[in-house]
Amino acid sequence: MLIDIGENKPIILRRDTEEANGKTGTRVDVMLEGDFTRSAQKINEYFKQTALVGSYANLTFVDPIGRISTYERATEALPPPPKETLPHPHGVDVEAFKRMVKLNEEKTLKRFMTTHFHRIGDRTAVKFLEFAGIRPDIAPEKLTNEQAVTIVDALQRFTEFLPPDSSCLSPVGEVILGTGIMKELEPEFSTVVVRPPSSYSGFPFLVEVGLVYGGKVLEPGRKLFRFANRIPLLYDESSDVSFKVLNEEIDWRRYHVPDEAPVGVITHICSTKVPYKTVGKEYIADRPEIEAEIRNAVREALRRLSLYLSKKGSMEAVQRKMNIYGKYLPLIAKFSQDLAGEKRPPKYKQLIADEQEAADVEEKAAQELTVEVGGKTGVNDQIEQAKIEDYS
Amino acid sequence: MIKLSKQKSKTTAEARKEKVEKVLNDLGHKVYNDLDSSRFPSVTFASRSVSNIVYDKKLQQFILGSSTVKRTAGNIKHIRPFTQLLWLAYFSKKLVEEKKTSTLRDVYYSAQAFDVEFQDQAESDELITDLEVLLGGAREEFNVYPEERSAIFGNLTIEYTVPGYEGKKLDLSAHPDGMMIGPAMTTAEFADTDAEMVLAIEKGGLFTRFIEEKVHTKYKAILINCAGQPPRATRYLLRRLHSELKLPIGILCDADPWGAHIAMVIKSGSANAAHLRDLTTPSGVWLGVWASDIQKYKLPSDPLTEIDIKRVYELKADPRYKEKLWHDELDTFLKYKRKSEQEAFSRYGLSYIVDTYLPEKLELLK
Repeated sequence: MLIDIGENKPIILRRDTEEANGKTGTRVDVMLEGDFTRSAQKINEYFKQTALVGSYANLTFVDPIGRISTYERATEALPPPPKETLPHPHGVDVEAFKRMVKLNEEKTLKRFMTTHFHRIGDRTAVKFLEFAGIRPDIAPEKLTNEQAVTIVDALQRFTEFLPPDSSCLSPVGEVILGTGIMKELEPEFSTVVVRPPSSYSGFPFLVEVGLVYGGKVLEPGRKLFRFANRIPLLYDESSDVSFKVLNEEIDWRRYHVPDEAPVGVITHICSTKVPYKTVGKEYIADRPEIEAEIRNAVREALRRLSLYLSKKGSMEAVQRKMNIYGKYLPLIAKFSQDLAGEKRPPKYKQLIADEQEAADVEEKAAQELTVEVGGKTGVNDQIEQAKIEDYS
Repeated sequence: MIKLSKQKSKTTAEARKEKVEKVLNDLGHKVYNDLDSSRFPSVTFASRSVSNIVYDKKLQQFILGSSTVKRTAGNIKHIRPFTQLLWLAYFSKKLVEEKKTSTLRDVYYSAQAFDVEFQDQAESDELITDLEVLLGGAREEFNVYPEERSAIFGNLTIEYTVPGYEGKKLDLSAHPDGMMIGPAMTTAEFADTDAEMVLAIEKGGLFTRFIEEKVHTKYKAILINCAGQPPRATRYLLRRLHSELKLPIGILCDADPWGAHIAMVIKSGSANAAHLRDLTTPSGVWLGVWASDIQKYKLPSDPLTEIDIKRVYELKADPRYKEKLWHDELDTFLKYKRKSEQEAFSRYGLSYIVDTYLPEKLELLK
């Protein structure tokens, strides 16, 4: 099979039929040619990371020397399949516009606008063409080069188009990402934040962030896993927008997460057009809209981690305290009994029981307090922003 | 020749043991009762912080002021030292009951067997001092002694009270190197003596010289080698020699600020022992070697180092050095910036210090 890139259609070279033997689903076998010895590490990494966001699929990798790596499916859930969609007017350039006109069969420009663009109805089409200064009943193929440029220019400037809807996007989702994280990273704590859809330059996009702490796989220090439309990005990490957000825009100390803490951050950017910086498609440009969404998602996830850590800290403190009482009170009892010359040991166990009870109450209060602290983080945000403004 | 009453002395040792057993028992009861009524036990005692150490003119020594510290088992930062303190009391009780003694280092190691181990000996020493403050007695009363020992020599017969030696007597002039001042010496009773004074000497060299020159018969003196800053046991013994035998105490040290302070500590104690009594001999006399003696006797001398000079200024700030003699001598140090050792007298011959210097100085004891 080959792919026709222009039409985005398969070119089938040979068709065979095989018995399914009661199995259901889709199986894809791919064989690639390449320099394995040089890229083995990246290829293995690619599979591991794919398993992280693709916990709904079985992955089997047979390498050139016959070693088999398998990643088992772990969830029945599937990501929503993307719906085909028309281009949003903000996202069309002169080249694309001309191509659309060439293939057009509509008689009027107004009709052309409503049938070739995303979320444009009659009313919007009329309003827009008025704004652009082009008559709506003109035949599209009669448009001059200058008129075409005028329209594309107006498409960018016109503010009344509806934003793109996200039905064309296929996010991983909380369940599938969460399952992949538990399976591949076995963390002590993990959380997934799915941001509402947004758009940049007429392209809808959606950001998903997974935050992982501790566990069996992560090593000390922060590790970033980047994905674009569920594809792992393995190269040029430091040029990526996610890297910039994590290392330049997030104040980790505020969330009480030290630099050496075993933390993993998974960022998934899902869009009809991912703004790669280069043709290599290895890192994503820092478009302000996308940057803001990543920042918000990471902050939300960090707030949850911070809450978890403080709760864990207070529980550990209580446990430590009880351990200390448990170690020393019996000794105190023994020594005092001997010094006082008493026959029976003092009834110190009641004291430990009382203390455990008090600690439980305290722990509850501490938990409530941490919720409050979590809530207050937002206030701190504002305070810090206010400060920054003062300095400027 | 003074014959001392054996009967009376024995009661002193017994009474001391009873007193210690009682304070330990009281502490035990207090903690026991607290635990039994589901209360966290706590102890309160005078603070040993620098700001709480004040000079008492009447007692002529440093004492602890009115601020206190409370240590409670309920506080998890306190519970470990609290347990260690109680263990020390428990351990002391065993020592006193069995009439055994232990060194500070022993104590540090013994703790390990009870799961209350100390981080280092400094920590255990610190807590032993806390116990002294809490119970109002010196560690020696709880049979805990430091490692360092000084020595005694002279016409004095003692009678041991330690187990296995009860009633045994020893003439302290029997051995020409002197006898070590340890727990057995400190608790021994004075049986008889013809001495008329006690000379506390800073260093072993001069102590040996004095024995060789027969100072103990020539001047009827009991000689004590302090071996630097004298340990508490030695200070306690000096006090007993003065109070029980009514002997004047003379102190001979190097002519430098450190030597002067050895004399001062024998007289009025140290800030470290501000919580303790019975370690001082206020009527002790600093015989020398004074700063002014360096000029007077034209002694070979060395320049004071920067640390020496700093020490002089520290001593000048000490209220006890306000007295004229001490004050003037410190000023003399600062004026000439010279120091001399006791051995410096050897330039005039080995017996000069005994035949010439000492008789002049002993006038001060009269």
